[in-house]
Amino acid sequence: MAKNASIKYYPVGNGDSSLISLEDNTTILVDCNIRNCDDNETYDVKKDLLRSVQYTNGIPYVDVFILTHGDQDHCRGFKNHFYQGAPEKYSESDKKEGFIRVDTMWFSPMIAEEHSNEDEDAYQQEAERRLTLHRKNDPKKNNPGNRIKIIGYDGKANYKDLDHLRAKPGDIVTRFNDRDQELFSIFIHAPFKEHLEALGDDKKNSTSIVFQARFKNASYQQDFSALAMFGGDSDHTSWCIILEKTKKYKNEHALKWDLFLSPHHCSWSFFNDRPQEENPTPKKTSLEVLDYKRNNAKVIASSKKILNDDDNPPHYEAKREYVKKVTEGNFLNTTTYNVISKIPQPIVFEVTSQGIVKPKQTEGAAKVAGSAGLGIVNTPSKYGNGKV
Amino acid sequence: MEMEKFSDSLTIFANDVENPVLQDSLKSLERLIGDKVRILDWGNGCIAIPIEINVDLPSLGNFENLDIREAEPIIIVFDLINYPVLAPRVYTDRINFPKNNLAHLYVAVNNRPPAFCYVRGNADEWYANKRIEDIVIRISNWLRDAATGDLTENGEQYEPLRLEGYSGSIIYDYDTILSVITSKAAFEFGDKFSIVLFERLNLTGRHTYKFVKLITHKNTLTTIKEVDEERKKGTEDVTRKKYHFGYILWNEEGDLKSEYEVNIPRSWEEFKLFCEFYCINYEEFEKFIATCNELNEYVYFPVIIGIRRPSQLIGYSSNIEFINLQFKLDSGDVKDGKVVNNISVDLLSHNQPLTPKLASHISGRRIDLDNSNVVFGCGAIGSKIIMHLARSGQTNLTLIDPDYISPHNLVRHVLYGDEVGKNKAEALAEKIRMIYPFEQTNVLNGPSFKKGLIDKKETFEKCDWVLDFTASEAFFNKLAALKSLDGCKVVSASISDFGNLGIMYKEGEDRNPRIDDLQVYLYSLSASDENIKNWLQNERLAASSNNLTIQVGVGCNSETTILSDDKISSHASYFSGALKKEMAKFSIKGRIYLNRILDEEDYRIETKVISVNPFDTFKAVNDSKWSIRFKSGIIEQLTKEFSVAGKSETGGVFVGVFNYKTNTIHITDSIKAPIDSKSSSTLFIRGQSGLSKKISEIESSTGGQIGYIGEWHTHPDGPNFLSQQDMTSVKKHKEECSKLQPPLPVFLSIITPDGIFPHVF
Repeated sequence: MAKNASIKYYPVGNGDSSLISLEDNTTILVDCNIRNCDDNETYDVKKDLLRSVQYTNGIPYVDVFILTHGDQDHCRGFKNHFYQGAPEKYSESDKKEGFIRVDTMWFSPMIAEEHSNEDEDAYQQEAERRLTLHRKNDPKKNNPGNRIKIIGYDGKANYKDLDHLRAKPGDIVTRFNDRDQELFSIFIHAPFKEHLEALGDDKKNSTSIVFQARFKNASYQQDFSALAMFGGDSDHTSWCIILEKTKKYKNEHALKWDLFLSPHHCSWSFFNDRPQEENPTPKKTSLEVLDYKRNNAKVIASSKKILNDDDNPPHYEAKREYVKKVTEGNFLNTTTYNVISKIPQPIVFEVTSQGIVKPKQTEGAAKVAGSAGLGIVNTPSKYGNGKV
Repeated sequence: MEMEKFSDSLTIFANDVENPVLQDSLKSLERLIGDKVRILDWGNGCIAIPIEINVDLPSLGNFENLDIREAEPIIIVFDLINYPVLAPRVYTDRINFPKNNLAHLYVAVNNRPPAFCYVRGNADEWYANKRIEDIVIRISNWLRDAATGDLTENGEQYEPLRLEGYSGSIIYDYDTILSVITSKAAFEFGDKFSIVLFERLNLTGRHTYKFVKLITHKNTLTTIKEVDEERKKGTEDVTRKKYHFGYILWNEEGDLKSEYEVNIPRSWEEFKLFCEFYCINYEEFEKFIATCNELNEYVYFPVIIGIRRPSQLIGYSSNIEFINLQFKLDSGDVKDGKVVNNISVDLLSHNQPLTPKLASHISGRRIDLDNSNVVFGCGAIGSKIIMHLARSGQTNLTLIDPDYISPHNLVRHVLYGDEVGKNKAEALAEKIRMIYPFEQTNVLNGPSFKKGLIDKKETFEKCDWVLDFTASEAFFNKLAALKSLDGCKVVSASISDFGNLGIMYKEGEDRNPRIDDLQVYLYSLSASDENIKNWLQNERLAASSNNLTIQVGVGCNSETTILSDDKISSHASYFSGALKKEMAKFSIKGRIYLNRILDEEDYRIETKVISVNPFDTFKAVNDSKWSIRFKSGIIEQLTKEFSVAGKSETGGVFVGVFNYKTNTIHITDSIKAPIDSKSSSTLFIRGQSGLSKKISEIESSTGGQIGYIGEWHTHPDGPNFLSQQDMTSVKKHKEECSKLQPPLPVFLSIITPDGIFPHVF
């Protein structure tokens, strides 16, 4: 039986890391927040990525990396875990380090203007390296590891000559990493031109890439099997424009969702300006966005545990608004969803022709043996009371 | 609404569970559900445990709106004695479970709910490596798949009914019975009602019916006569065949039924309801069996019901599913053209007879079954390879062997003691026909080709592969030069090195390299391959002769040959595996397949495949009966030396082997002119420094198979023929060579700007 596509939301505290895996094993990583795993309570995202991605000649690679925007909690670990530089120079020691090659980068020039952290710098540098190859029409420009897609409009730098690499809001992308997908596509909502004029501290947040990932199980299927909305840290003003534009161009289908990754880690900013105490009423447009949910739709809060306190994000009042729309059972928080021996586990959904469903449970076996990674193997065991 | 459960009708199990493994599993179940389990009596030495399991359902609603719920009650049934060797069976506990719409459920029997078919294959084997918790997970996943529509794994095809409780079996080809419905291959005795002749096999216990033929308009009377003949024989007569007339009923095209649940009829009354449900007209059938019940000698007879399904059945060629029943009808059960008693009806399991196509499918190897092949040699190696081919469906075989099975052959041959005295090819062909008793196989046999036929092109015109397992050097020579094989692909396999080395030569495209090229090539590898060198040197020692034509090969046709059956099987299975791969995808180059058994301190087997480029072939300029065949690369080497020498003559010495039987000269290498050679633009004096040592090394490493065979020199400005001086040297050489035993031809080639001109004297 063919493998189903799946969507995995990693538990990374306040931050985003989501992995889309297609039937043909194509993987699309949306943001990353890879933290240290020394404390025994942090899920090892890198280890799971290395298990989930494909390999060519022993080199692990993701087909596409979509960085919604450059905030630290969306690109943490890019520098240390992903390969940067000419792909032909990927070495044996890079393999040992487990550097993941990004075959195609999705890059939004607008969001890359203000660098705030070294991971973002690394992403920007790598993007520029690739753009230069394309600009110079280098023969290696289309090799995996050199591919790049420009999302949205230009900021200060001008990439007009590379328009053939560009996708704009309203576009539907069906080709990923030089391969046409029949059953999967992405509708791009943002960033749009208005963002260029946006001002203020939250500029980066409001200019996130926002997109709808669309899944089918058969090419003749009329409707989609699953629709997953990703919006980085986009705020209510962005969503207001998205709503307006999408309706204007009669693209309502692009607003529907089964899975909604709550923007900015369940922040109040999706509903209204912060602080919530001063702007306690959710914007109508934000609520309308949520009303495009389909049957049994789920909201994912990729954030810390949501408590009834003043924290933001995640914001308790924001959660309440989501729950009003989808019920408590369909509001899933990555930190609390499934915790095994204190470590939160990813939220995974498989795409079937009947919609999203939890993956199959894994059977055990009657024969077992411990592995080298066992705690008892890696700690001394003391027997008896005598002194050594 | 209160859900009705099947388990409500079961009573509490009153005894103790004594099986300790079962006790453990029940405890595991209790841990899983966090509560005590209720132990109910299922009957037949089994207990039933009702539990509720959680199912993950898809977001957009269940596939075809199937009523699968988040909490599903199931019953796990354990055999009190034989658990865990017998895996638990799992049933739905919900009376209104949507069983009619789901594949992978067993058809319910005896008023029990349907059981989940949760393993493809044998559940007991699966459970041997699983725990009770895994069954719960599996059933939960089963229900999840049912809800998402992933349960039917074969996409758009229809899963046939899963039945159990068979009382016998029936063997027929699905497509043959299908032809009755789709192309009226049998006479219709009534509306959508035909008759088939079956034979009941002489087996004790279960009834097994084997298809004999369809009853057609033409053969009705002769068949009745035929059946009567058998009836007349005494019941003690072992040749008496138990013929049964069976019946086929089917429904109208367009009467599709997608519901799975057929209450498989267990009695005449149920049968009628069943027919009505599937729109099958049974009245004429009833009238026929009630009035012509004398037609069948026996009270039992098979009835096949054809039901149309909405799409093609998985594993079959059409959408018609056959339900196979057995009736028991006595003369007292009928009156006035009606069946008056509620006679019992049994279920028969259908077995597809083995066809070459099915055998090919089961053995997982795609080979072109339309290939036609001639096999020489049905001895130990040959018989094993032939049976490997036959069992994988390759029956277009013409088997040739003049030999008869002797008792000592049984040590290493596939045939058995009852064949002693028979011709090997004939006995083998007979065995192959018995694998496919329902099929017309194309296997032929004979002691040899009739006089001259082997040399006729027509004999091999339709033949794809010619396989030589004769282990005969004489026949090998014959095959190598046999012109009638020109369109064929030729393979020759034999064993050597006291049975430890299996060698299979596979010729290249257009018979180049040929089997003899490959043989010489293999010998020439001894220069670099220690294994081959040792083998050839051992062979020479064993032959205790310096004769060039030492026997390479081990014959098995003697009682004195010490060699075990397992060694022969090891070679044969390797050859057959490699051969089938070649048959599926022919490699353009020649191939040598080696299977080496290392019978040392540890018993080991290693294999090697060597690819061989085509040889460059010429005819001798002065005597066209001689073929000259150069190992690839040598001509290039000569041409290079020619151009390096420029205006000066140059030359060298050839090594290889002459074969008088095939009039072939094989050249495997060229030794450069020794350093004491002298040359000018018109003269070349081949020196001798170090030459003898080199040739002796080659001769020694190949066990005498390869040695000095001739010389070459260049004429930078022509002519293309031998000069006077050249002829003088030839004469001198000839004088020495003709005195040798056997004599050695003189082989001299000249190379000019126009090419190479070989001469043989």
